[in-house]
Amino acid sequence: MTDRPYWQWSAGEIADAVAAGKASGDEVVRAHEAQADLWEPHVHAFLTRVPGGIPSPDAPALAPGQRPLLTGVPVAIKDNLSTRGVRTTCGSKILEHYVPPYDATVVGRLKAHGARIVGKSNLDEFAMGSSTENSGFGPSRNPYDVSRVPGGSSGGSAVAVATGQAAVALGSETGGSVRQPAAFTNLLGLKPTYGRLSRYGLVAFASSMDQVGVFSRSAADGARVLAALSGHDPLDATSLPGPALDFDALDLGPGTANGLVVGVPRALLGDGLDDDVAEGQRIVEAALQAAGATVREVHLLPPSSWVATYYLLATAEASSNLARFDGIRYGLRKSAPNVLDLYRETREAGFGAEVKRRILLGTYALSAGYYDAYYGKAQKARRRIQQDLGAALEGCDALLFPTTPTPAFKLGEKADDPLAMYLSDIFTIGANLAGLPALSVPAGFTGGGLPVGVQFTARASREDVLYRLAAALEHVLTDPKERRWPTKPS
Amino acid sequence: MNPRDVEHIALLARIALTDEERAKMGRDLSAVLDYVRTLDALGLENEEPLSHVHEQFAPPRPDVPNAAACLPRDVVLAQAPESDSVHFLVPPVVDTR
Repeated sequence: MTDRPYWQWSAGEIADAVAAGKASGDEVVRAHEAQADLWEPHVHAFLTRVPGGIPSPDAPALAPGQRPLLTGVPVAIKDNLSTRGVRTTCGSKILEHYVPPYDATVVGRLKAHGARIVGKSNLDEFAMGSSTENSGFGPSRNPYDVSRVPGGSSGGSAVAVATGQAAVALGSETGGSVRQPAAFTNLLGLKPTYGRLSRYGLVAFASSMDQVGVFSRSAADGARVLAALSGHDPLDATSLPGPALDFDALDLGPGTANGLVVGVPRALLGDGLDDDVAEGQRIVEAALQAAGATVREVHLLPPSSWVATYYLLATAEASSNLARFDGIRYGLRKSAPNVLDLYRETREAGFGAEVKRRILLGTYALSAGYYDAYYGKAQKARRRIQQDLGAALEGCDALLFPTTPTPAFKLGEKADDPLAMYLSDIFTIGANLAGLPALSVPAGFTGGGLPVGVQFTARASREDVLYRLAAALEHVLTDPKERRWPTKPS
Repeated sequence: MNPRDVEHIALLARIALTDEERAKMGRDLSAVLDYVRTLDALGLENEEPLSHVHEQFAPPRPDVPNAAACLPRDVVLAQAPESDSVHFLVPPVVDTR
């Protein structure tokens, strides 16, 4: 079938070979575990590894008419998705020893499709951050340069896929936490339409924006995972009613982008954009035209308004969601003579600095006397931003602009400046505020060997358009089989 | 935001802070609040607030308990920092002195 080692195989190759009895699922998992043994001392992708993969004798049944899409595929799961019987920490000391008694819906569906869950990956505490430096258990590192961050908050999932420790991975997004690390590690990272994937069992950060996302090394693998996980879930009231993405009906062939119209907001590509990122954008535009797509200019509100809106809404929702971590029902408890001090001391000891900062900001934005000036104003801005992105998408199938203004930054570079860290998400937040699907795709490397990414944003529920555009780029630019793997430091 | 504002918010949020944390939080939060003033340039006075991105959401469902999504008491209490076999245990909530 192929002489490449199993850890370089795509999820599609693994699923087909294991289902046909041409490869052993155990051997495939072992090959990925050997990669983990090599890389983990250098990159710290996982908080908890599961030798042999999570056994799935309790796997739920597939939905009627579905065929298993992920037989034997090693998958990494961000550690804010509940896994029955396997520790789920959210990267926080407050949940260091928490073992969920149930599976997130997306985890159950992975099992139903035959996936092998090889570990729980590192993240910024409660998904709050852009570098994994806010993890309570130490940062992950970028395999293309271990002095740099892998991005965040789903950095561990990105690193696992980039180094062949997993074939694909789940992350989560509230403001760019899948796309930004994908751009930093030469991967595809999907933030689906809000409601496309169930949030049941995803530990909540900002419920009006939280969405499970997918890391892959090819368009076909990403679409395969999305197809396996999508479809309505009655356990999530915000789950969209539509059917799952039909993977077998999706055309990812060379002509798939022919006739598609892609809008580029040129005004975003000005000051502050790294030269190599700008070059990646130019290369992708040219490749799309070579693939038969049309590129035209569109106009958007300045993305500074996205950041300002997001940090009011997301922190307000977080201050409410994280009230559940109180030392009473699960997780860390600090003893105190009365219940008020028990809450205060438990949360002081259990939360890291960034989580405290966001809870306080959100509490302030919601507090009496400030609600209209901050939270209320941000809700109004959110409508304006959604209308603005909707108008830009009226005349085109997708928008195209860089995922991040710069390639991966150094560990520690932004750690003491929260606002600078927030601004590293400046290009990703719009899709989260508007609930639109967006996909970061590889766009080459800098002269120094760091990956660069650009992203497509489509209309609601049009993830198919995103993966068709990504597949078209693979046909013109780089076959995923020829990907540039990171070199392990000696 | 001065340290007294931070202390007030921290009490509302049920988080104890050291003096040093209070000072740093005040500076960090002030910087973010300054930045969000950029929204004033959008002229939002007559805009309708948006709280959910899809027009149709949270449709009604039958009012029937879902036994499969419920957990047995012993499984739930196994995660509790302190419990007897029936209850979560907490310090006194009402001061009776």
